Formats: sequence, structure tokens, C-alpha cells
Amino acid sequence: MNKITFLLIFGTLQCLVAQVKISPDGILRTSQTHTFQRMGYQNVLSNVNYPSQNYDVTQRQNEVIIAEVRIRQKQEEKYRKRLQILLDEAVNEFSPIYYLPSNISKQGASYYQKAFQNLKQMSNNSFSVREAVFTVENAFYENEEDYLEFEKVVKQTGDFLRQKMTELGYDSNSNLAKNFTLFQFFTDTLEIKSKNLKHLPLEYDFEDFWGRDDHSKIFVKKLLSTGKGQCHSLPLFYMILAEEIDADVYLTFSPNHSYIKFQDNHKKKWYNVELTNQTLTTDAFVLQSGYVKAEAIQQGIYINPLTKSQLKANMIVDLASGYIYKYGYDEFVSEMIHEALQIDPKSITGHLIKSNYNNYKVKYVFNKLGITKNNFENEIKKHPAAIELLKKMINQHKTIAALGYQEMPEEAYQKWLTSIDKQGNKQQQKQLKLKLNTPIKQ
Amino acid sequence: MKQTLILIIALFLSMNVLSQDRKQLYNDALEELHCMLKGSCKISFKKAVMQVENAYLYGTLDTIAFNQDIKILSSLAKTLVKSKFLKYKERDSIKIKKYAALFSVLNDTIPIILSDGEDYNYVPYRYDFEDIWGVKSWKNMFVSKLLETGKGNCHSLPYLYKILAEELGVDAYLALAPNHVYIKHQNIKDGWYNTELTSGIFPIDAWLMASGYIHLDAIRNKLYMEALDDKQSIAMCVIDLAEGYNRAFPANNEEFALKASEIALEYYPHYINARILRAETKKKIFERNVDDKFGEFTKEVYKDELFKNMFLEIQNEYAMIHHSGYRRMPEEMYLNWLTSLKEERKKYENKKITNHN
Repeated sequence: MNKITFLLIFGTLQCLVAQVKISPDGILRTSQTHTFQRMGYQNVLSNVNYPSQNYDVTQRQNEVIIAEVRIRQKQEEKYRKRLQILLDEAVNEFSPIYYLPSNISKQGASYYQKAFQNLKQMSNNSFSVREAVFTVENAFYENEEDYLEFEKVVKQTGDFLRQKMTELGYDSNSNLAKNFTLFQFFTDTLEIKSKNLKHLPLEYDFEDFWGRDDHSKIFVKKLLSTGKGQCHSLPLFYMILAEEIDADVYLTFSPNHSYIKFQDNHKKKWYNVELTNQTLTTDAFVLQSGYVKAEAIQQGIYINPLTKSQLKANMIVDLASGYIYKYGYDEFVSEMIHEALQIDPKSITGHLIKSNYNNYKVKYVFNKLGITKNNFENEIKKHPAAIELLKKMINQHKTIAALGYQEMPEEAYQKWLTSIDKQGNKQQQKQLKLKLNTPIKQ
Repeated sequence: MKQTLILIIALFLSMNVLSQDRKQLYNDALEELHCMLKGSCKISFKKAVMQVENAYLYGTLDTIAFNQDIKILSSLAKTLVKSKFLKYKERDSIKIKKYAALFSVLNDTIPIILSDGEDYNYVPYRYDFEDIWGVKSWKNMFVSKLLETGKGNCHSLPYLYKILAEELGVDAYLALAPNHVYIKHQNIKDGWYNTELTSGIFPIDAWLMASGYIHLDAIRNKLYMEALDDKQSIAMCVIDLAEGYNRAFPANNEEFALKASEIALEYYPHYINARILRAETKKKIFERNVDDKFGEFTKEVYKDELFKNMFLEIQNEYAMIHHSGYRRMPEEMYLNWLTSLKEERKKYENKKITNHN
């Protein structure tokens, strides 16, 4: 026995030696490939030639046919299996396990569907901001708000602003003048003495300023009824009034925050209006928060004035956040966010909601399929659709990281908002007043 | 008398030969870098940097010593990786450990016990505040100078870091700020973060953005603060090479710089230093042509269609550079900004990264 193994080993060794030739220059080289090829060719020839001497031609043909059929059968088997897997996957995709249970039958949820349809139908480039904001908030209040009432308030405020501008002798076509009046309306006490009208400044509400406990805190309706708003409602109301008096303004995002940007009459200089602390700020103020990465600016998710269609995408995102607050995540959330991201592929809030939706869904599906941390590796293989879901979730995290997003803690946010130097700002306002050629009241 | 004359002629000839050789070295180096960019040769940042420095040094760069220094430093870093304890526990913690070790090698004093039992203190590299932009001596920008003297600047320090990262098999991205180079890294937990070698801290992006020295458009247009990939880094070496050439041959026909900037811009189209070099080179060519044909710049120049177009093209290039957000930063302003990092350390330090160590 030992001898045989020895011989076998020796034999293989010889083979190895045979293949490695030592060239004259002393470098080991394996045999060149073309000799192998030729040998192979000869082998095939001899195999074919040999049986022809023993078998009948037809028999040989039959054998060939049988062999071919067998191969074909095997292939078909393969295809069938692959098809079955694909079918299983497709069925899985449609099985209720892979769908979040719908909340649409819950009380008031259908108003959100109607609101979504309404927003979708609005023109991307020339929709009415006031109508869109009203639609979003009205869905939350289950369509119990009165649009005409809301419009009346906006119109009256518009009249007030126009009168004030006439009283101050401002150029009624100047974008700078319109914005300055608007800014004063938000931050100062404005009076029209001839008509005995007076408007007090709008305040910043430090309580629950991100609307986490009460979503309606971020609504314009809340701002109008209490005179107190935050970084969502104040800029939106500014946008609505700007639309009414035909001023050119843009909503702009920074981490967890929004503010207003507008340009002077020659479209050369940009101004930032920070309504929460009632100042005109610079871009550096936003950057100083420390939560803006270079990637975020390069990708344009912050500090870039939103176009009209981006603003619309943002209204849809707002609608979705209201829905999530009231009813949680379901497929309707995904539908809304999909629409928003189609219009504005870089909407960071849209991406964050999409990510939360994905996380929620993975958790839900894994729970349904009984996939846990311990059996993850074995179980996940059985569910290709679940793997897909997991991939989607991870990819979404990557997308958000690539956009340069960084979470800003609440304390850091508040600290940043109150860090502005108010003195420097008064100076800037004085300069603005000078620019508008009006006497400065001391 | 005759002898001196012969001597002078001989000296003159030999110098001429020397400069011919140097030109050849420059052309070869450009060829080699271009080859890396085209993808025909393997990209090696170390090799690229050595080519650039060797050409300027008349081919006298001590490559053996250079390679050996790099080897010593990278093995020191490898030893540190083994002994280092890090709080960071994500999946990519091995990579982060290597970054931390590299940072130590360049910034920390490291006590080492030699094989014979003697204590030895490894002294890290320091920032050289003298001649930071290589105005007095172009060699001050070189990694070889840093290795020899232990003192470097915002050019040689990050370059050395990138070379060492390449040796350790981890990625390090060079990133630009006005007249400045720093390092960008990415980890799972914090995403992108910065490593600043001149003052040895991890500054947040606000240091660059909010300091007021960089126009926002320059960030938007990726002139600065972009993590540069390997080809972009080689493109940077191409421009280093061209700038060295202009220093080596102050009166040249601008062909080399023009060719180099075109190559660099092909692979890194928004590289601000390449765009500036191209514009300046075109301007020099234009001025020389004006001198040759008109003697001085008069209205006559503008009437010539060819010259007019050349002028407009140059003007257009400068305008594009301005629009992209580029502003020149004087040396004093640069130093103020650089030292602001140390003075306002608390404000700009990325505590998340510092805490990992």
C-alpha cells in the first residue's frame, strides 16, 4: 500500500518536473501554452476517430442526440429553478409582510390623501405659497379650517404693509424696501397713525421649538393665533406675506433651521433674514454653528436659496411629517416622500424621512419574519426581498452621509441661535434705512 | 589669459550641459506623472513626489535615504498601531487606528525603548514658520527637506502623511484651502473629518468656512475643502513640477508650464492652482508676443484680431477664476488664519475625533 502511494506521489512529482523546464538563462519557465493546446487538439481527434471503427453511424448519432437532450433537460431544470426563485421573490414582494399596515382608515387620515393630491396638482413653478401652507396645516386639523378667513388675514396684513410703505415714502417697486418693511413688521412695533392701526412684533417661542411634543407648534396658524412662532412658522409666514406684496424672497435651510434670503434691487447682494432672533445675518453666522460640513455646501443642501419647485417639494415633506406625527409610518409616507424627492432630489429633510421610513420598515419586516440578531445570518438568506430591504436602508444612510448631513443636538442649536451679536446688527439696519433714503428715528 | 578664457568657456559649456540635463529630468518627470494619470503606470504618490523633487535637485535626490526614512517612519507607525488603544469601536476601527498612529508619528513625542535597553525620545516634525511659501528657497516646500531637517510646512507635512498612509495601505485624502493643504478622512461614525498637521489638531469645517477668509462660492465650486482622490493628488504634483520648473528656469518659453497645466486640468478640471498657472502662463506668452511685435502695449494691439482674441481669452480665464470664488490671500493674513487654530482651539476643535484617541 505504502509503495503505491509512493509511486503515485513520485509519478505526480515527475509530471510537475516535466512541466517546468529550466531555460538556458537559468530562469524557471513553464511549458509554453501553445504546446498544450496542440496536445489537447490531438486528444479530441483521437477520441472521435477511435469509436468510429467499432460502432454503427446511426447508433452514434442517437447517442449524440440523447446526450444533447440530457444537457437540455439539465438546463431547463436550472432555468425552472431560477424562475421559481424569481417568482418566490415577486410573490414575497407583494405579500403583506413586506408592506407596512396602512393607517388610511384611521380617523382623519384620508384628509392627508386629499391634501397630497391637491399639492401634487399645484404647478411646480407658480403655486401659491399661502394655499400650499394652508393645505398642509388644514389636513392636520381635518379640514376644519376656513381658507377664506386665512386669506382675509393675509390680505389685510398686505394692505397694512402697503400703507406703511406709502406712509414712509418707500418706492413701491423696490424689493429691498418691501423686504425691509416686512422685516420691520416681524421685528418692530409698526403703526399707521392716520388709521390708528398698530402691530406688535412677532416673538420667538422657546418652548418645544421643534414641535416634538405638539406638532401644531410649528404651524403658521399657531403663530397667527398666539403671536409667537419658531424657525418654521416665522419664515413661512414671511413667504406668504412676501407673495401678497409681490416681494422676491427665498426660503433657505441650515441644520435643523430655516430662514429667509432676498436680493437687493440690482440682484447683486444677498441678505439673510433671521426671524427667530430678529436680525439680519451673514452666511458666516450659519457656518459658525459648526454643524455645516463642506460636503453639505458642495451638494447644496444648506445655505442655497430654494427654487419655487424645491419649495413645493418641501411643502410635501411638511405634509408627510404631519402625517407621521399623527399616524406613524406606512406606505403612504413613502409615496409622499418619493414625490418630494422626484421634484427635489437633494431635499435633506426628505432624505431623512425616507431613511427613518426604511429603518422602521426593516425593523417591522424582520420582526414579522422572525429575524433576530442571533439567527440573522441563517435566516436572512431565505428571504431575498428582506436582503433587498436591508440594502436599501444602508444605501439611504450612505446617501445622507454623502450629502454632508450631520445631526445637530438641541442644546447646540439653542446656543447657536442666541449667539448673535445684536449690536452689530442694529448698525446694519441703520445702514439699510440710509439706503432707503428715509430719516432715521432716534 | 588664454587659460582663464578656456576655463570660462568650459564652465559655460558644462553649465549649459547641466541645464540641458535638468530640462531632460523635468520632461521625464512630467512624462512619468502623465503616465500615472493616464493609468498606464501604477499610481504612487511617493514616486510622484520624488520625481518632482529630484528634477529640481538636478537628479541628486538621495533616493536611498528618502526611501529609508519613509520605511523607518512607516514601521514606527506600524508598531504604534499594535500598541495603540483606541476608544473608537466601529467596524473600521483598524483603519482609524492607522490614522491615529500616523498622526502620532507626525505630531507626538514618542518614548521608545531601544533594544539595548536605552530610552530614546522620538521627536516629531515641526512647522517651519520661515519662508512658508518657498519664496527664498523652493526646496523649503520639499518632503526631502522635511525629512532632513525635521521641519516642514503645509505642503510637505500633508504630503509626507499621504506617502506614509500609502505605505500603510490606508487612504488619506489631500484637501485644499487657500495656499494650504490638509488631510481629510472618513469614518463610519463621524463621516468626513479633518486632520490639520501644521498645528496638530482636528479642526471642524467651520474653521475654514466661518473664518471669513474663504468665499462661499469657492466651497460651493469645490475649489477648496474637497477630498481629493489619487489622480487629483498626482495632478497636484504636476503643478508642483511646473512651478519648480519656472523657478529653475526663470526665463523659459512657457511651453512646459502650459503643457503641465493642460495635463493637470484634464484630470482635475477645477484645480485652482492649475487654472491660475495656465492663466499666468498665457499672460506671459501674450506679453512676450506684444513686446516682440509692438514693443509696448498700445491701442494698436487691440486692433490686431489675433492679439485681441488672445487678450479676451486670458481675460475670460481670470474672470472665471474670480467667479468661482478665488481670492488671493496675502501671507500675513494666511499666518493669522493658521494661528487662529491654536488661539481659538476650543472653538474649532472637533471634539468627537479628539476623544477617540
